[in-house]
Amino acid sequence: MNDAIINKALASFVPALLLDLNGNLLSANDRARGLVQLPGGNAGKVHYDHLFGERTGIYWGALLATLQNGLKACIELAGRSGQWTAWQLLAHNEHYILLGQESTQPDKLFSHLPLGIQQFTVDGFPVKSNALQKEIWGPHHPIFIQPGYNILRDPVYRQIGLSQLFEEVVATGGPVKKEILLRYQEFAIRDAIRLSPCFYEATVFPAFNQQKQITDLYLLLQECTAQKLTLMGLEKSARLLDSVVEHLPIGYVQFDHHGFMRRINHTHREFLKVRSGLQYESYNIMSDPFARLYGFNEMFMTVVTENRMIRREIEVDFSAEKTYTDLSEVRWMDYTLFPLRDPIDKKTIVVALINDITDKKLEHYMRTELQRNTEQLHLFFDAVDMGYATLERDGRVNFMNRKAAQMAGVEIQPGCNIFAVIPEFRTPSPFLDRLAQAMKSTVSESFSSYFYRMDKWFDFLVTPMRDNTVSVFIRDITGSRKLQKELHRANSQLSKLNRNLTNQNQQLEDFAHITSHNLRAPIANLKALMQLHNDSEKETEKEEYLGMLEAVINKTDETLNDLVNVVQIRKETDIRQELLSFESRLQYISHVLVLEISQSGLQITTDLQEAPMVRFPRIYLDSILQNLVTNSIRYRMPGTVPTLHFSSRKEKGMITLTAEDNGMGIDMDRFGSKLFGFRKTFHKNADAKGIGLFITKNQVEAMGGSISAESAPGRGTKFIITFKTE
Amino acid sequence: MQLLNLIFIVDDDPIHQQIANLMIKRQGIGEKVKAFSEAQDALNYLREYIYEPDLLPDLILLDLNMPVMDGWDFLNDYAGFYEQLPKKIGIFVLTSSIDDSDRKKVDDYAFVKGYLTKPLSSEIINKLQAE
Repeated sequence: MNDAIINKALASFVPALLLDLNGNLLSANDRARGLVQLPGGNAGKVHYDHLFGERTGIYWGALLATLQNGLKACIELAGRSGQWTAWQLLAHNEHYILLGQESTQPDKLFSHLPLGIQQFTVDGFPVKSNALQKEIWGPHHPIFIQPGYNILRDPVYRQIGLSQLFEEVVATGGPVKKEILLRYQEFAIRDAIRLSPCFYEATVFPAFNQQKQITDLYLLLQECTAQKLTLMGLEKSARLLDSVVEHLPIGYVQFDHHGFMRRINHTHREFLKVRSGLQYESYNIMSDPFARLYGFNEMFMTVVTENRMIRREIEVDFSAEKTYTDLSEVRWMDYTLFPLRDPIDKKTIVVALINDITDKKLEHYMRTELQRNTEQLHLFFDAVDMGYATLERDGRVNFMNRKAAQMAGVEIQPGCNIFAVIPEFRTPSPFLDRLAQAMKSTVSESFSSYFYRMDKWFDFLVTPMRDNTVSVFIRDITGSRKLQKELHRANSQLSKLNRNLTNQNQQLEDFAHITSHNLRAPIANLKALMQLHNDSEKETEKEEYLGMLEAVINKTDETLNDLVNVVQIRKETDIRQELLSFESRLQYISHVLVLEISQSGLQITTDLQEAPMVRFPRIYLDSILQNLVTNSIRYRMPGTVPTLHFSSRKEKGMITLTAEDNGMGIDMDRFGSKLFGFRKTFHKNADAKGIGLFITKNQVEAMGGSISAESAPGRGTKFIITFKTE
Repeated sequence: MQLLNLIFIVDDDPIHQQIANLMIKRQGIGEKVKAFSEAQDALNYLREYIYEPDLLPDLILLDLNMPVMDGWDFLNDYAGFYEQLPKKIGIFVLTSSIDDSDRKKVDDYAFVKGYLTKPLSSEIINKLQAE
């Protein structure tokens, strides 16, 4: 049969090409020449691959293999005029013949279809495909280059379900459609290669012959990646939204426009402790007694009818609701109901957002209470008669009561700094140091200070508080300070008086002592002499006793005079004082005692520059100086030129006069305590009456001074007189 | 009644010395009276004749308030050596002081026989005789 065909073909009825066993063109009839572009009309050196392989992608080897596998070996080629010709390879007497058949109208449609289309045999071998399909597969896909490729046996397409589509079509006889992830596309983002999926809608349909037998299968591929990804994205968004609603931190309840509950999210179910298995879909907000109790039905109606949002804070006692919830507590709830239009049936749905605000309410309540307490406290502190302020550690004012503001005398607003607004707190002072230190201290500190601007004394108590602020309490202690000062003055006056009284008492005691010793003795003598006189019978004796009596009376008189002198000194504390020069008074005394001084050879020296003057009664100073000079003469060392050195110093606000001689000296251990006593003598000196130093001491002490002595037998005596200065 | 051989009067007041001398003589309690204006002189005497009992006094009338050395100084000094004396000497403090503190202080000296206040009267002399 082949021979007949070929012969016929070669007789130019059918386009035909004769090839040798290697695919080289041996000859072509005229019809074939018209369809295949032969170079220069010479067919002798042309190969199949040059004529067909390079143009169709189906090379000699692949085509021959198809034939040798017992299959129909066909290729299609567009002619010069755009006419498609189908060529079939046949074996003929050590040669091969390609017989052409011009394609009909459907083939044109096939090539110009805006979809990828490919023809397969019923058992899955590819026959032909249009350009778009080639583009989808890629020119190097095994479907084009692998001889004997069968889509039913491709493991990849079996896995994604493409191969099964073919089988299904064969089995059902109808078309089948499926979205398949055909391949991945590579694209580069920076240095990394990313793969993006390419989705295609694959449609497989059959072609029938006149006997209704399936002759061919066709595969249509249409890319749907964008739609697919959009759809996937939408699904993902919907799932996400669903999850968000479910796990919102507040309750979400959705009602249809009849008031039936259509959704209650996880958060609210948890909050209400909804019993498991409860069918809440039957719940209707318009009819539920608990909802009606709290007016939720009215809220719902308002939202639906007025199409607006409503928000209410309601204190709800959940113990009244037993059907849906086990929550039996009183809670403050924040309900927000708002309308939404259902995108499908366009009816209004109502969404309720429900928030438990019990803690917030409690906090608000506490804060209000706290604020009220603080205000009450401030009112209280305003009422107390004491300055009070709470400050930050750096001095910023949190609160200052009325009294404290009055005390400061300047306007002070909360927030301003006391170290900036109060004048006394700006200039450095010991008070400011103390205050600054107390502001940093961790223990309470108390101190007081005088403020010149207000002429007031204030007492401060600075106490650290737990919140790292400080409380300052201020008291006006001006009155008590003055009183204290008065008291202090009165006290010191009393002390002085007491001292004077003690002194006077001591003097009285001394006086009593002196009297007992120095007046009782002569009186006792008088008594004894009187007794002798009375007992005596002899006139001569009586006269003798009377003579003795006279001597005693004279002596007593002398003693009394001395005592009167001393009493006079003691009495005359107000005696006139004048500023006297030691030097000039000493010159005067030297003049009075010129005879004694010249006879004794006493040498007087002075060093009186440091304290040349003293305020003192003149007659006392003269008496003192005279006593000192007389003593130095009276108790001079025999055989030695007597000296007396006067010096004056200023020491600790006092003036000290020192008189140092080189006389006999006194045994201070024995006589120190009696040195300034009345009628005390310590040397066998006929002139000594023991009155001079007694008077000197009284004169010095009457004027608030003191006298002491340093001496030793044979080493002279040093008298130290301290004068009180004003 | 045994007549005292020697009586010391230790007193700086010459009038009192005279009066005491007269009183003692008149009452006839002692043969001889020796007066000292300075207490130190009396002590010196006692020390000088410490081994001659005949020359030591039987009685000393001691004043307290004296210049240079007073009665207390005398007693303090005397306390240091009186136990060495070959005979007991009766010491009486004879003073114009009526100060209680002086009276109490005298009690500290066990060898002082009594505290007498001036003036020296016949009653006191009689009392001395009784002692």
